[in-house]
Amino acid sequence: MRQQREQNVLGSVRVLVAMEPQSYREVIGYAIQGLRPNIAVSVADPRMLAAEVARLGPEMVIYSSPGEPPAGITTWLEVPENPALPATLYQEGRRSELPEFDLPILLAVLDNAHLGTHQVA
Amino acid sequence: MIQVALYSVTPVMEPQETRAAFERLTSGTKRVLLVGSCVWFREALAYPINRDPGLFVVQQAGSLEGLREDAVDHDVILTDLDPLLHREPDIVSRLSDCSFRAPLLALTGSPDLGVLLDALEGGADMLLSKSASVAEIISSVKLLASTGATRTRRGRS
Repeated sequence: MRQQREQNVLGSVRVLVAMEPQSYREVIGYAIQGLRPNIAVSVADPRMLAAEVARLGPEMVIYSSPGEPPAGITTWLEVPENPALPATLYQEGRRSELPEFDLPILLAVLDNAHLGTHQVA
Repeated sequence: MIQVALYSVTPVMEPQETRAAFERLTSGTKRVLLVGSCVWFREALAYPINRDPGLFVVQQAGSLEGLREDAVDHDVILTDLDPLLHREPDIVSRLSDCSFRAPLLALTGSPDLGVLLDALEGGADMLLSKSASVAEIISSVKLLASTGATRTRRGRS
């Protein structure tokens, strides 16, 4: 998989996956691309987060380290490398924990972000 | 104001993919057993593996518990070592002790040489860093699966 995978899907939500290690962000990128083809997914090294956010303008970011979401990001999903820790979702200013995080929950978050984008539009 | 439920039932595999998977199962495709307690990584990793025409995930398990008796036939084992090490420090040797004789590829992000040596002594046939790309993981799985050998593991001395 290329370091940065992009789809130009008109009108779709843009998701940036910036996780460590590389295999984590790539498998998430593959799964999103395959299971939600209407979502434009990009994959990037988390060290390039600020630059990629500025360049791509994603509505949603999936990140692996603790931190506050940058301004302009509607949905920020923090998925720690340690599976014993819960994932944390920041959505429109609200914070919630997802202790049993798995692929169907990720897809539900994506669907929610996608729907939210279209409602705003 | 419309509120949207966050949780929904979402099929991970579409019907046409299920049919394609069945056809591949009956055409000599290598069967992968995925073991790892990090659920999202295991489930997401299964996706590119199942998209590869030469591979198919026949079973996933979060731990060895319950798998010992229920494991289906497989050609290669792919295990995410790190989270399992927290819960099952002897994961690799336990795989060896079980009736799992297929080649074993362990993914790890650990820089600890002791962990890596333990995994190799325990019977892992290949270690791969989690910094590897998905393409590298898949090619490694295919390489191991293509050996076609059921091996006697070394076990701990």
